[in-house]
Amino acid sequence: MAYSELIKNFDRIRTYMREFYVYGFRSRSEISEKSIRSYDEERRHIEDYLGEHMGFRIGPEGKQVFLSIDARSSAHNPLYSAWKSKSFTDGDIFLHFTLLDILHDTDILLTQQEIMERMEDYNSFFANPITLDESTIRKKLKEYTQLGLLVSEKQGRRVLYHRPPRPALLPFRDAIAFFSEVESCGVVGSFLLDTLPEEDVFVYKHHYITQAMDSQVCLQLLMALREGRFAAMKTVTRRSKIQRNTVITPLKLYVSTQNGRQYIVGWDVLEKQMKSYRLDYIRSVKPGEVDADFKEKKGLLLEMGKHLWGVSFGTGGSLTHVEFTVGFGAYEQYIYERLLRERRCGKVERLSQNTARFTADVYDSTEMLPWIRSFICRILELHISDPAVEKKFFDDLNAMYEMYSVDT
Amino acid sequence: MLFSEIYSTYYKTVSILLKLAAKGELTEKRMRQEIKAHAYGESALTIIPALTSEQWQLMNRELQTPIVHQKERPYTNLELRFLKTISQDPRMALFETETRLSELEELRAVKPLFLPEDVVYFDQYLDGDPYRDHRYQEVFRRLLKSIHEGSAVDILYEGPRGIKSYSCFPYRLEYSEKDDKFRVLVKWSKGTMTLNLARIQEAAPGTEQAQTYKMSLSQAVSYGNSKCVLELVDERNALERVLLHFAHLEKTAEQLDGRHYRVTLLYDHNDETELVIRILSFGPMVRVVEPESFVNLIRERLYAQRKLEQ
Repeated sequence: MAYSELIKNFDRIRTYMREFYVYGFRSRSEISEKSIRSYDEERRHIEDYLGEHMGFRIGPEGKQVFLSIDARSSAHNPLYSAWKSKSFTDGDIFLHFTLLDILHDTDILLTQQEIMERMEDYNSFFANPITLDESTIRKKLKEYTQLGLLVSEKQGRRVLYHRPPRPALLPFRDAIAFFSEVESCGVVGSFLLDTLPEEDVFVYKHHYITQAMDSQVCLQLLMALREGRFAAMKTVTRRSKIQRNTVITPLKLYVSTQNGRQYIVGWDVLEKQMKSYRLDYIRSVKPGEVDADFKEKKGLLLEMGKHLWGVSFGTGGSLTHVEFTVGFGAYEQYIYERLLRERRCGKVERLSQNTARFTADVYDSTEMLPWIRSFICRILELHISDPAVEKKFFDDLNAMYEMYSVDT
Repeated sequence: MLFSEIYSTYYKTVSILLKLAAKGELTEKRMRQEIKAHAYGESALTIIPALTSEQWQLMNRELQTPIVHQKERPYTNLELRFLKTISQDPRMALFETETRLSELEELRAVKPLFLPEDVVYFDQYLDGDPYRDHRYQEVFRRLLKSIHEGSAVDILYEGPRGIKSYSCFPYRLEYSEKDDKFRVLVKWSKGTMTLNLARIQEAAPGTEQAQTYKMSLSQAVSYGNSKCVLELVDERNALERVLLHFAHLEKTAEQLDGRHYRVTLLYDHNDETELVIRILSFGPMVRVVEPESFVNLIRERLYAQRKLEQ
């Protein structure tokens, strides 16, 4: 089959975009997601959508394709462009423009029969007009009504279709541009922005664009969450890529501003415990029935959330006490301020002019180790009530001394 | 449904072409230009024949169209629900002047996709900007207006050594999700600089009103001008953690052997201290190998820590 820029299904491109953007060092033969043919096809698609950001180098295993994007160099998330590549039939595009042209004003109300009659005028423009049967047009009208592009209303036994009123969004263009980058499911904002004149006024720092690829999963989970529904999910394990089915009550979306990872935190129905799932490991989501105990579960997460450093609930439900003291000079008050602004669920106590103590009781203290390490050169004391975690911190520190030849 | 042809690049581009055709302004050359500007790399190969061969029945071979009333498509329920969601974000107040988004008639009965309370930015810093503060909002709006106009502003700024005044041209607003802060990038008599919005006491229309100044995105942003090379062992999922953590920077990664990788990062020199801290947080999984000056920055901190233990 001839190559087409447009695609039917987003799942495959989601996998490859992640591969090229996050990793970008594996060759065609090493990426075994599907087949060599599908690799070539998806690489070409991504090159079409993001050509200016794509590069390659020759490694020992062959050509390695990568996407390299400085997030500050784009006013809009470049990965959104893949969401605008859905394929369509000749009939789809004909009906889209013709239907909306026939119903070009909100005060034009027509039945399906009347629409079909007016369509004749459009058909007569062409020597070999497209023939669409009644059911195709009915399905399209139904689809557009469900999407909100058209409104149907009953007058007696007649069903009339018309355009809905369209809000004037020009005064909010800057806001939409901003939220399309920083809000969850921002790709929807990007769709809106496509209908408005372009002018960029924002740049972004610490901006993680990878969330774009998980937008569908994110949207479905947030919608299930808002309605208090169960969600059946197909997930894959990180290393072995084994697929498993699970059902959760989604309660909150947890987003990291420091690495862009997104997690759905909720009650795992099968395991009967609070859990978090990374969105990039969720293949699909199907909303289920309303969970009668939604409020109680949400309340439980609110309580447990007071002891979450990141997204891990640890094992066994017990809390670990973490405590460390940092020292700083007279002109280094910003270190104290750093503790205050980065403390999350912890507490900071000023011990003296030049020292401060941080304390927290958390479900998983291993999640805290990277942050504690960022205070290396100032840590005066450290105690973790889980001895294994405390040992891990000091073992790692000793390994770093050795690695950088820091002698006693 | 998120993945729909309604939002597609092709529909958007065809819409532009049909408007031009309706006005009798479409030529094959113009068609190519518009497709190049709005669609993908190879789109012309599909769109032009599909339109000019009457395959899509939207235009004839003479580039005339029966679609003569075309207006922008209505917004979908999904789009309206997204608007309702952002209308409830506290940062929305920064943008609203006469009309509030949530008060638009078309959004009154719309349910939001989700609420701000449904999303937790768990590692965001706690001293974010005061979005509800009226003075802050006024400063934000003044700067936004000046950026659009390319006009000058006079700023009173609370710096580390007291209040200073600057006459400058703001050209971009920079937002950091991690810091939850806006900064403004400005051009002034001594070059360019970045000011924290929350520290601006006052921003008034500038005295240099006769001039205007605009900057393209490529000029506006200082790209990664420094390089740092890391080597890592893929233990405790270090490879993925490092690559995701630094995903926002321009970078390349290569496999050295089984579990060893080399990652090259390009960063802005002004962010060097932050990068040192971030690399330290990965512990012994990551080792800086180049440049030597960066290796020394890590080493100095380790020395200082070692001294504290003695």
